[in-house]
Amino acid sequence: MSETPDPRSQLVELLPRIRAFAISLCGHREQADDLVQETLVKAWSHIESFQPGTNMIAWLFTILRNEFYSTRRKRRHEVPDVDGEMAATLASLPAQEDHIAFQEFRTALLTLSDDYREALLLVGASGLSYEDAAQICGCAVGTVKSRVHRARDQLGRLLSGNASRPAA
Amino acid sequence: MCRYVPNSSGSASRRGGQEKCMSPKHQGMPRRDVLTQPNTEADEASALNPAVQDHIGQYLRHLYDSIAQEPVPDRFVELLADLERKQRERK
Repeated sequence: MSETPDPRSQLVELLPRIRAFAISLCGHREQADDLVQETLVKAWSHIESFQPGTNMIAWLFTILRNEFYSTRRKRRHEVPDVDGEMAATLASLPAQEDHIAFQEFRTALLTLSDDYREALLLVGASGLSYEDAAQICGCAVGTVKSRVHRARDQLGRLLSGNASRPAA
Repeated sequence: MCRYVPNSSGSASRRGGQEKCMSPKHQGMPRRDVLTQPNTEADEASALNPAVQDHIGQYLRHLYDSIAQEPVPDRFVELLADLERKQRERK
């Protein structure tokens, strides 16, 4: 290893994970891909603020969530697209029954507060450590733990609640 | 291509597809019947029921994996190529 490779060369391979976080976080594909685009441009032009040897995906997620919240502030009047087109295009959806349950899960996920949803996605789906997630969200590790716990609690409640209602 | 495995249990569920008792279409996806089990306890208790929580974990990973396995849209490949070209021109 003669020269340190440009960290920008990692962006392509990290793209699928960046998109997965963006789409799960905002629940709307078009908005999510705009977020991804902004994230890539910012990451590219501010690459000097990335410390080599640290977790690049955590750095990218930080840019993305900051972008998400600033866009959200501008679009405060818009509600999240709970019944959006996201699931319709998801690959390899299983049997119809499971499809319905999965749709309910997605809807429930988008009804969580942004704080709870992002904590759950970072730790429960993206596999980041509580420490990385805390750094991304700009809060204490204990706060992330409690948000993940409450998010799971609320989701469990919502899904159990749906299940106990008679089918429409 | 671009397959992302978030953690070991994600890949375990994929390997699970080769087990004889599990049909591939149910790979990584919880069965609805677990969530529709009658709740004899108050919602309070069922919310953190380990089976329900286990399925929430599987759903989360399924959501992520399905998106991460999609081909990367051309617009991003083009964008990165464009940024790189501009960078080279500046040098």
